[in-house]
Amino acid sequence: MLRTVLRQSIRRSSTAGAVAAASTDAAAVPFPVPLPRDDVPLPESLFRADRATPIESRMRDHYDRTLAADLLYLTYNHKDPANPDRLAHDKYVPGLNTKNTAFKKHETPRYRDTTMRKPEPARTHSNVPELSSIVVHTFLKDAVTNKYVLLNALTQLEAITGKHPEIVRSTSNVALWKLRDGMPVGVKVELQGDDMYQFLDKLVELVLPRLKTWYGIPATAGDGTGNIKVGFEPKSMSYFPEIEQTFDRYPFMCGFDVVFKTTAYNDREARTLLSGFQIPIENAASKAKREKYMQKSDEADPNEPAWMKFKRAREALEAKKKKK
Amino acid sequence: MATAAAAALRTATLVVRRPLITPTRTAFEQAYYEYHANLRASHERTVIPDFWTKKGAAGNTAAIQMAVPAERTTEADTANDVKSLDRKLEENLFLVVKEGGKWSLVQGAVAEGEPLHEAARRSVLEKCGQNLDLWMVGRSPIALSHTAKDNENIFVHKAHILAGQAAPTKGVSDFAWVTKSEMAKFLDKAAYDDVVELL
Repeated sequence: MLRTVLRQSIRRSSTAGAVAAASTDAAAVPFPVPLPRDDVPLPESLFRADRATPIESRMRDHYDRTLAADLLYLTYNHKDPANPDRLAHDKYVPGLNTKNTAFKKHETPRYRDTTMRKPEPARTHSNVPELSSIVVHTFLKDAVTNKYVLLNALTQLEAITGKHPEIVRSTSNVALWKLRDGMPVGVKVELQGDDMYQFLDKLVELVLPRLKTWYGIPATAGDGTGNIKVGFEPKSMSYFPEIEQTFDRYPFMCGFDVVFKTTAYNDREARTLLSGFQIPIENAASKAKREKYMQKSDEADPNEPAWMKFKRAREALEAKKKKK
Repeated sequence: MATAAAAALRTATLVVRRPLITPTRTAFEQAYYEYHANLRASHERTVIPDFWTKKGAAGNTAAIQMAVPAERTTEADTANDVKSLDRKLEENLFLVVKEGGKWSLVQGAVAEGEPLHEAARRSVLEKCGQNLDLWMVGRSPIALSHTAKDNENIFVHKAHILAGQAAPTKGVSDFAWVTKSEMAKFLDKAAYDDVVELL
């Protein structure tokens, strides 16, 4: 009963202008159809473009049912924050915090210096780290000379996120790059809610596995307050299914950043959260292991099989021929 | 809780197989999602076909083959095989074992100087076989058991099973993978009240 009523109340319009046209055209069915027992019609449009549409999202289900509980156990502080003997890796030691050495001059110490921050709130079931939004952002150097390249970036970001992006304007003047304040130089779109989880699902399932030279978020990544940015080269854009199918309609592919904004208090919690969504994290040990595994040593392994020896000799010969 | 000086340490491990499919939506939830999908579709920016396909070209008229999803209920569901990990795909499954005629979580002793989480992992592998790919959720225990005897402290750890299957050995006569609602049928009241908040 409820489903049929709701279905009748929405009419799929063929053009965007049909909503306005419906109210003037007497023959067309008014949008939406009032409920039979109610004389007052529903408002013309309940659609809010600034809000995420509720969608069945398996990433959100995974967070709600599995990840949130595990994160509570993983990030719970078993020691009193006021206790000086609290967990060593959460301690801030001035001068030894090698993570935050790249402070920019315009960044205020209150934001970056962790001794100036509010103390970490006690972990409870209701403040478990959560993904609050994902920002997909492109900066195009060529937009300084030709602002219409942003049209390409706008279309691509809209295709992959499903939401219309906004233009980012420059706030600084750099004469060397012909950059002036107020110039449009970038494109960004912020995703929240189920739209965000859908984009994350696409990224994790379709894009990240196809990256050839990216093996994970570095274990030192993060801005210190729970937000993590990952940069992608232009080739990665073509791995999205929306771009892949209409690849030749775009003049060029844009590189982009994806900023994961979380409610985590520090980088470690943010990385744990992202790891729960199957985004790999790479630390020095795993990187060394991977490089050792992929290393092609010049010395011949005495135990290697005959076919490998033959292949190696053949490749050496072909490389020699190519050099000539 | 027993005093630290006299008590022996033991671990209990809550081994979980997490849900593998999205939960079944109620009729209201389905209507809700359908409503919002239609609302969004009616306000979407139109796609201009000429922009995406070249003039004169037929376009991509090949039918897109949608993947057919598998059945939500499996053979293990119809047979109600409590040992199978393919049962109740949308719910959590917890491992319970029968030791000495009594059903409980997998328990084990802690060796001298051994970290708790390592003892928990070792006891599961010893009692349920090496063919288990386990991921311990952190190093800290998630609970302290209230049903322990006076001279022992039992700390509960959580682990996920990623692959493999239990093969009981070493004093374990039977095992089962059960949901939260089925747990009460296997554990006695005291043991069930002890763990119900963790499920």
